[in-house]
Amino acid sequence: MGIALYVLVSAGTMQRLIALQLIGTLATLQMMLLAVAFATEAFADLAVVMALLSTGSTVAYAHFMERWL
Amino acid sequence: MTARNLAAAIVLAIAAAFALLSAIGILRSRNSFAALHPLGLAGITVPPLALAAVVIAAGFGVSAVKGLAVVVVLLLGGPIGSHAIGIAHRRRRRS
Repeated sequence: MGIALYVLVSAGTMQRLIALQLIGTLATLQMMLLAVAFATEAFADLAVVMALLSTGSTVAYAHFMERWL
Repeated sequence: MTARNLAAAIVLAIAAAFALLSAIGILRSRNSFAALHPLGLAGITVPPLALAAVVIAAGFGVSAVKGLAVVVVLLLGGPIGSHAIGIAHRRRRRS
């Protein structure tokens, strides 16, 4: 995730978006693993919401960049 | 450490290796189209491996069912996001 964060702050615009999608995927899976590690179901619910939001936000942000940036 | 935890740790280490490979691939790729390929590697391999680790460590309980939902969403949404990024990049280059 550190390498993806480095790409996020240093690369071109579209590669930043790609790194953002990778970070979203990894953060969602980390949340799922935290739910098991701490036996807290709230983290699992959060992982489901993050998975839905990361996909939608990537598509929306790509559409935004295509139209207006 | 039990055998189940050890097996889950090994599967998680493999998933982390795939994620690291993908991040290095994105970092080293020449352009955005090339960077979409390592993103696909992480999007396809890492979620099922993480789910497998969850099932191995905790069994097939409520967390595993929610994890299955997460993995299905990520597996379906990853290609959609990559496709949207590719289209956006192509149209930006044209204009």
